[in-house]
Amino acid sequence: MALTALEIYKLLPKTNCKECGFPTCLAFAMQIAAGKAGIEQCPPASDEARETLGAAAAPPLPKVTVGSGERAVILGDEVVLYRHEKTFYHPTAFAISISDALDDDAFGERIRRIRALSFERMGETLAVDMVAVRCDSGNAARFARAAAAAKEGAGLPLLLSGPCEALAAALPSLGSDRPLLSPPSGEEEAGARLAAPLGLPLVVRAKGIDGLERALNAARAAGARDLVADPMPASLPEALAMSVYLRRLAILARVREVACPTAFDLGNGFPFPFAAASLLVPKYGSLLVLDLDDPADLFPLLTLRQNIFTDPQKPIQVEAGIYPVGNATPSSPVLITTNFSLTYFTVRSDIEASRVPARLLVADCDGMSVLTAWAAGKFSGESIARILSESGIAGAVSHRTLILPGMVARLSGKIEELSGWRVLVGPQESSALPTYLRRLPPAAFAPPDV
Amino acid sequence: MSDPGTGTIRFLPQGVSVPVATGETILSHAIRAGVPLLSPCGGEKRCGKCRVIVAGEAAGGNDPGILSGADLRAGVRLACRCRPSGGEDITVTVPPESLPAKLIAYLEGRDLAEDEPFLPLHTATGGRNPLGVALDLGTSTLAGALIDLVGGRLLARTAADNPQMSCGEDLISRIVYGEESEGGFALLRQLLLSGVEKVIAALLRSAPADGEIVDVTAAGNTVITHILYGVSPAPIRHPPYQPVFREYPVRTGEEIGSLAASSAPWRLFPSLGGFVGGDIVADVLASGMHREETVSLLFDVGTNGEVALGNNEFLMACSSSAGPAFEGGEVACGMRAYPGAIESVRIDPDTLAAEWTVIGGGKPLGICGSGILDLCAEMFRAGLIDRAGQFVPRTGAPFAETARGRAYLVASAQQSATGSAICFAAPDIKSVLRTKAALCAAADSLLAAVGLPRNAVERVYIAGGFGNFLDLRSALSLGVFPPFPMERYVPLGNASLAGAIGAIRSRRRWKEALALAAAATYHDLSSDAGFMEAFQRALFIPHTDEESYRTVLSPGGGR
Repeated sequence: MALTALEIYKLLPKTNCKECGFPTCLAFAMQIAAGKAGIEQCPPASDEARETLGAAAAPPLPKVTVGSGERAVILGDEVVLYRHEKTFYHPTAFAISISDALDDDAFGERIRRIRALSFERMGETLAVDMVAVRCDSGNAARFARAAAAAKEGAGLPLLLSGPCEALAAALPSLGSDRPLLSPPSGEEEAGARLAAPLGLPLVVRAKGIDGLERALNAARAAGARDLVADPMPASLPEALAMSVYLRRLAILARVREVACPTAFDLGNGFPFPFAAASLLVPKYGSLLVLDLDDPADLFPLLTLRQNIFTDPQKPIQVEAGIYPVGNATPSSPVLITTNFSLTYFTVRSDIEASRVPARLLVADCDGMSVLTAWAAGKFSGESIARILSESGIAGAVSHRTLILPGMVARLSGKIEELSGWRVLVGPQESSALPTYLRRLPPAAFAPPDV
Repeated sequence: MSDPGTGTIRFLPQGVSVPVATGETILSHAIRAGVPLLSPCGGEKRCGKCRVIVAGEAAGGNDPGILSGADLRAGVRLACRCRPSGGEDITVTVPPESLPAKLIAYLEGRDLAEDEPFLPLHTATGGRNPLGVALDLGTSTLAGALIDLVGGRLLARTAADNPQMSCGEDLISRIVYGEESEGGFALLRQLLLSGVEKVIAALLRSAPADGEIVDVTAAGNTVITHILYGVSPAPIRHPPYQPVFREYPVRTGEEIGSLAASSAPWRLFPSLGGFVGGDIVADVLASGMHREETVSLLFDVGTNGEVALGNNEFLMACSSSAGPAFEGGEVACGMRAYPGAIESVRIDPDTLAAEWTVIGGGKPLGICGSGILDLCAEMFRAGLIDRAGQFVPRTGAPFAETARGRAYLVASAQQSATGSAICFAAPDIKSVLRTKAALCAAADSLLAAVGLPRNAVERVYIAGGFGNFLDLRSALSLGVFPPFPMERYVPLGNASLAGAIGAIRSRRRWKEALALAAAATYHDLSSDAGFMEAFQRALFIPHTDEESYRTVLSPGGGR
């Protein structure tokens, strides 16, 4: 079991010497407990502390890097079982398969389709991560050519899936790109001997937890270090169960022998591959190999992945700007709030509930709520006046009246002074907006006297 | 100081006597005798509240404009203007309406760790009677105590409003004020000093004639301490949110800007972080939790809420950023625990109307913290609000539709002293829930940060005047504190002042305060991912974890 901050603190010198860079030993202990610092940062630590904490601080799920450079993919290195406990760090990787048995045209077309699996969503590019080259030809030389062509054509890290002799043929040209080797079940020792000298990551395939443990130990004994486990499920329920078992063994029980990122081959006739992928994205699949290449399949999976692997510790923001609510006309009221998404959606739905068409100005406050942003100096008279002049709101409405959240009523004077707009102080609680907006006299939003 | 007369003045019903000092008012005699007497204006002869009944020779204080003919015939005088003539014994009866029932809550504090021998740090005065002043510099209230450094006796205690209130109710507002107005921090400092001088002057009325202040200790939050030092606290509000000082070098009163204690060294309690100040260090000092092996939690429930967790091995503290709802702030009809405040509330389960008691009796002006807690707990018990704090429509319930939405009518316009109804509206409930949720979640976050379960906490200290008179059952049924068995809660009152007094009396305890502050860890809740979640859970009445609260509130208290 992981040690608590207090248990770690008791092992530390308790002198608050600050050599670790933290103000107190307890603060340092909290960082160790959170996996954000290591005992090696504490020079005066006792040997006992080093021994106990060195083991406790190692990540429960090792990190395996596939590929190199910008598109390198990181598998594993997770610390919690549930996203809300902290966050998930490394998104499930998608590898789209390609067969070395395809003729040149079909091969080129398949690569083109893989490259097209890239989408824009919420300001991020969503794309598949790897190409899985399968040795279906049984010809090592053909496999090596196909692997090189896939690398060349797609520019993505590779999963090389085939017998060891085929893998060996591909390595001379691709070994420096850190491909992930995936020999068939039973060839883990031979695979490990291929992977070890080049320091390459290796998929170990075996049925069941016990089988995996034996195979992983054999691969380790043969010198492989960066291991990925494939429990070879035959069905969707089995895939889900194995994925959950393996992750729980790693995080909760800290069973080092089977603590590895996981790979699941959902191609090659695996039943219901789309459904299986949609279950394994939230439930611990580190790498999913798919034969699917239809954007209609991949877009929902990539969207799901984006949602699951968003850091819940960071406030979700909406884009700053002018949001019309209802059929807003130039004489509709203008309200302002911050870009914390919860704040925005609450205020917006309360405006909608009023049935009064309006414009909502959303200020960029780093995703903070109104009072927090005010306290941090990000929602101030100056910043609001700047938004009034720079957002283009003046051109969208015929009046110069702004409704300010009641919680920051004190900003009204400054805003009026700096912007020349008239400020109406709105309710403190957004929930009072419907009543407030319905009672507003229309004259409040008449064009200014010129 | 005036000449001692030959007679004595005896206060009833307290039964305390002090020698008459000719020329002094009855009010200053009362302060010297330790008799609590209402004087909201601070003896400035404005409020007419310090009514006493005088039997014996005394002159003045019979202002016909303030006192009626019947009052005068009954011997009622104003204590701030009436002076005994000196030669004879007189008896002064303090009627109940002149007793500041709860005001004392801002002063009275328990010092549970007071076992060190009396050994003050400073005593040298060149033959004069050495005195020490202990100060608690609060966001809303400035409190002080006068200690005789020869015998260690507590001579007087007094409190006054922090004059900075006019520049904002909470600390952030004051920093903003300081940053945005020309000479803002200078004015804040000036206001603070004027308040401090007023407190010291009031204390000195009880000082012996040859007394001289030779030592001052002050416990205050980080913002106020920075302002007192003439250093801008603005960095606290901007990344990386660090104060300029955590430890304050000793300065003389003259350097600080105090005339009343100009030659004394001023020792300011060190801060733990931007929003956990020396007041919390003084609280911990008075609670003695830093000496015990068992783990304790300490809540300081004031204008801001701070929480500390620890024992003799560790100490961690955080600011909960709870609002001032329990000090009557952020609540439309809220007020501080002054006369005229509703201090307790019961709701009749049949009529659904409120029954209340008012500090000092008479018609209510508003509701103070303990009344607000009672009211919310009672509204929930009576089924008038649901677990989320929303009003539940019920026939016959005294609801009113106000400009601030639906409200519960606590007192009608006829029943209130102001002539307008006292209503508790939906935003007021929200404000109370936010405040209580922040406190509760701060405690849960501290426990989670060090990895302790709730049941590891064996004692829960509640510091702050409010803790002296809150109804613990109401507080727990609302979920203000985590669900610990009732007997684990220990109210401390103004522990910050008690700690400051302790540090005047014993140089060892001052060292203890410095050491515990140096070893303590400041936990920043704004970077604690778990806090927001704990806060959301605590926004319900009493909490999403209803079961634990039911257990501690059941007969037997969950032991």
